[in-house]
Amino acid sequence: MSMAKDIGSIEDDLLDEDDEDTQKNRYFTFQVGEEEYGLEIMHVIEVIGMQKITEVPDMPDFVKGVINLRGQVIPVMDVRTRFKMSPREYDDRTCIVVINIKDTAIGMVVDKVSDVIDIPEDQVDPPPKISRSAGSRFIKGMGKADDKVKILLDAGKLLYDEELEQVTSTID
Amino acid sequence: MSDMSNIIDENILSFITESREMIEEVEPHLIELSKTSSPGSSPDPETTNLIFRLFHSIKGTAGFLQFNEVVKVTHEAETLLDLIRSGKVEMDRRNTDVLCRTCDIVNSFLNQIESTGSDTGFEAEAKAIIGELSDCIHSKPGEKTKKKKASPPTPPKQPPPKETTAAEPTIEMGAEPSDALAQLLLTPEMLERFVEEAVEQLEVVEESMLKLQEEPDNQETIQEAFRSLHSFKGNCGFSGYADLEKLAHKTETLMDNLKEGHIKADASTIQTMLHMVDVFNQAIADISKGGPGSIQNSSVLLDLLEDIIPAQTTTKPAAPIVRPEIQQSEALFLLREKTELPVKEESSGQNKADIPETSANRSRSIARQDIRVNLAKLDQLINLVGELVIAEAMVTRNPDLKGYEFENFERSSTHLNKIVRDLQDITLSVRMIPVSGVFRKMIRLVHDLSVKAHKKVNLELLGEETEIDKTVSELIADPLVHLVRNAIDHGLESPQERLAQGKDETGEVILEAKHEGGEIWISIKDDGRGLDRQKILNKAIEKGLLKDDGSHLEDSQVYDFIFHPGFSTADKVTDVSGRGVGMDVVKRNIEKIKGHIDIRSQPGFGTVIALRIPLTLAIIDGMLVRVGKARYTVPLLSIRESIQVEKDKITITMDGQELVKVREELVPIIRLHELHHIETDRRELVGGLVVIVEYRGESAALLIDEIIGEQQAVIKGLSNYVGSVKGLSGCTILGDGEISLILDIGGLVKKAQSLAAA
Repeated sequence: MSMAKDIGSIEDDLLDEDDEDTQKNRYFTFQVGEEEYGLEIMHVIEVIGMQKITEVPDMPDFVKGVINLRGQVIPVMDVRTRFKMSPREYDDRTCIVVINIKDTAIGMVVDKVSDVIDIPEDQVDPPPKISRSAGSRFIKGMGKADDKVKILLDAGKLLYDEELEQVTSTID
Repeated sequence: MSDMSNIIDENILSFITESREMIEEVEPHLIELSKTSSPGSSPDPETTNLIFRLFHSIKGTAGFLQFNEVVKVTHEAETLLDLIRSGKVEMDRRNTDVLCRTCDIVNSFLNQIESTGSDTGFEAEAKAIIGELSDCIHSKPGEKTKKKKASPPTPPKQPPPKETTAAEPTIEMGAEPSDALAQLLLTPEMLERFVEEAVEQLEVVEESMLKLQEEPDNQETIQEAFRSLHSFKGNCGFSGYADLEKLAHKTETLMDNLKEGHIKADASTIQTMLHMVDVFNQAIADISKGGPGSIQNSSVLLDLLEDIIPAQTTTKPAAPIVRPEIQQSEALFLLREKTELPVKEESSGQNKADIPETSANRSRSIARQDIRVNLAKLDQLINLVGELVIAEAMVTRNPDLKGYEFENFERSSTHLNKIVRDLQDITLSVRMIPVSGVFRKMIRLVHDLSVKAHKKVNLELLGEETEIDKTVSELIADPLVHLVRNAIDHGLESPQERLAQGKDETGEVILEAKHEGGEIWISIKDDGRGLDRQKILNKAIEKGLLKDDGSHLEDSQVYDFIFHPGFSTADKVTDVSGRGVGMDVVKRNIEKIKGHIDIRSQPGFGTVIALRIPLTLAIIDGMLVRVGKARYTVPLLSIRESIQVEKDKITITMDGQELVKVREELVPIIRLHELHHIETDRRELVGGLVVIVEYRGESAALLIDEIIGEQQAVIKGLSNYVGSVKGLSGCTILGDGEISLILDIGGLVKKAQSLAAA
C-alpha cells in the first residue's frame, strides 16, 4: 500500500470495513507533527476536509467548537492542542477525522491522513514506561509496520480523559 | 432476532387492523344493499364493487401471509359477490345474512391470528360458511329458502357479540373479555409502544433489585423501582392486560412495604421481585408476538405475594377487597359498550347502521390520510435535506462564479433555492405531530377510571390539533396519564358529594393544548374539590419536609410538595393512585424537556395543572445577530427591543459594570464578546447596538455588532460530548450550512451575574 493515499481511496477502504473480523488489527493512520498515529479502524467513520468551525464558549482549549456534518452537529477536537503541541496554521492537507465512540461522533483535526494498515498484535509493543508528559496516557501501544513506528491511540481516553470532566464541572 | 420475523409480525399486525377496518366498513354497506335492492332490480353497482374490493383485499393479503382458511372463506364470498355484481344472483335477505356471517367468521379468524399467530381452529365454522356461500352461489335468483340457522334480523348488531364468543377459545382468565376489547382498540403502534416501554420499565426494576441486593437500604433505588413498576402497572391497565395489571399492583404493594420498611430487602424478597420481573417479561414477550399476554397460574403468584406482604399494613385491605367487584362490573360495562366503542374510535362518531354511507366514506378518507414511517428514516431524511441546503448554497454561491454575471444561471438558482427552502420547511414539519394522539389515549383511560372510581366524568379535549414534536409527545404521555388519574381519583368528588355541593353530578375534566408565548401549554383542568392546602402542609410537616407550619408559604410553593416522591395526601391507596409516585413521574418527565408545571387550585372549584413545555425542542423564532465572526440566534420571545446606545444613557458603576438607561429602567449590559471570549468589531459602547432581552422579569442588554434578521431556527443539541453550556440552549444550522449558537437568555443572565459576583 502506498503511503500517500488520497482521502477518496481511504474512504473506500473505510466502506469495506463493515465486517468485524476484517476490522481487527486494522488501523487508520494519520500524521500530527513528525509522527504517525494510528486509531482502530472500527472507530473511524469518515474523513472530511477542513470546515468552518463554530466556536463554543467555555470549552477546554482542545475542543475547537462544532461543525455541521450533513445536518448533524458534532464537536471538533484539535489533536495538536490535545497533545499540547504548538499550534499550526490549518492548510489544505489538514483534515477532520470523524470517529465514533460510545455513540458519540466527534471530529479530530489532524495534520494529514496517511493510510489504513494492518498491524498484527505481535507487532504492537506496550506504551513506553517512561514518559515526559501526561500526553502519553493516550497511547495504547506502539505499532511496528515496515520499519516504522505508529503510535496507536486509545480513542476513549483521547475523548474522555479526566481533563474535560474537570472543565465541564467548573461550568456548571 | 432476525429482521425478517419483525417484518412479518408488522405485516400481520397491519393485516389485522386493516382487515378489521374493512369489515367494519363492509357491514353497513351490506345492510344498505339489502335494503335498497328490490327483487328484480340489480343492486347498486358501486356499493357492490366496494364490498367486492374489500373482500378481495383481505383475500390478497391473507394469501400473502398464508392464512389459507381466511383465503378460502373470502374467496367464496368474492365469488358470490361477483355473481351479485353481474346480476346473476340477487342481493336478497339470505345472501346478506350469509355475507354478514362471513364477516363474523373473518373477524374470528383475525382474533385467532392476533392471539396465536395462525388461523387454524375454526375449520368447522369455515367449512359451514363456505357451504352456505356456495349454496347461495348455486341458487337461482329469487329463490328464497330460509335457512334454519337464520341469524337475527338485525345483522349490524350481530358481529360484536359473536366476536366475543369467537374469542372465547383463547380465553384463559376471567377478566379477559375486557382485554379483548382493549386489544381491539389498541393500534399496532400503541402496542409497540406499550411493549417498548414495558421492557424499559422492567429493566429498571430489575436493575434496581440487583442493586438493592448490594445495598439493601438505598431508598433512592427502591423509589426508582417503584416508579417504574407504577408506570408499568398503569400501562398494563390502560392497554387492557388485566392479569398483568393485577399482578403488577400486588408487586407494587410489596414494593411499597419494602419502601416503608415493613419488610426487609433480604435475599428472598429480592428473589421474589426478580421472579415477578421474569414473569412480566415473559408476558410482555408474548404480547409482542401478538399473544394475549396472559399469565399462567397468576393466582398462585398472587397468593405467593400475598404471603410475603405483612398483614398489618394499611395498603393491603384496600386493594384486594375493592378489586373483584370492580373487575366484574367493569367487564360487564365494557361488554355493553362493545358494540359502540370500536365505531367511535373510527371517529365516524355515529351509528353506522343509521347512516352507513357517510360514516363509511369518512372513515375511508381518514384511513388513507397518513402512512407509517420509521422515525430513523425520517431523521435521515431531515439530515439529507440539511445537506441539500448546504450543497445548494455551495453551488449557487460558488466562489468560481465570482465576478461573472449569468442571467439564466441566476434565474435557475433562485428557482432551486426556493424549492430547497420549501422542501426544508416541509421536512421539518413532518416531525411535528398533533397532540391528539396522546389526548385520544385519555378517552379510554377516563372511561375506565370513571367506572373504577364510580364517578361520572365528562372529558373534553381542546386544541387537539396543536402540533408538538414527536419526542415531546412521547414524554408527556406518561405524565398525562398520571395527571388524569389524579384528577379523577382525587380531584373529582363522588356524584353524591357533588350533588350535595350543588354541582353537576358529572364531573368535568378538560384537557387542553395550546401555544402560549413560545411555549406549549398542556393543561388538565377538573372541577373537583381542589387541592387542600392544609392537608398538604400537614403531610409535608409529617414527612419532615417542612420545619414550621408553612403559613408564610405561597400557594404555589405549597403545591410543589405534591411532586415530592412518596408524597400523597390520599387516605387510602387504590390501584389507581394514592402512593405518591405519579406526580414524581410527571415532574421528572417534564423536567427532561425543560418544562415547568403550574398548579392553580381553588378549594371547591377545581384544579388546573398546566404543563408548560418550551418549544425549544422543535423550532423557535429567532433573531440572528452578529458579534465579530460569530452569529448568534436570540429567541425572539425574550427580545424586548433593540436600541442604539447614546452616550448620556450610559452609567458605569465603580466595579466596571455598564448600565444603559432604557426609559426609566437601568439595564445591565452584557458584552457577549467578553462573555464568550471572541473577537468583535466594536468595543466602543457609545453608538453600539444593544438588544434588550428579558427573562422572568430580569432584563439585560446584549452588546452586538449587527442584527442580521429574523428567522426560524430548528434547535439542535450541542452533542453529548460538549454537554450543556450555560447560556446556550443549543444551536441551529443556518441556510449557508454554518452553525449559529442559540442563546439561552435565562442562563446568560445568570452566568453574567455569577461572573460579576466572583
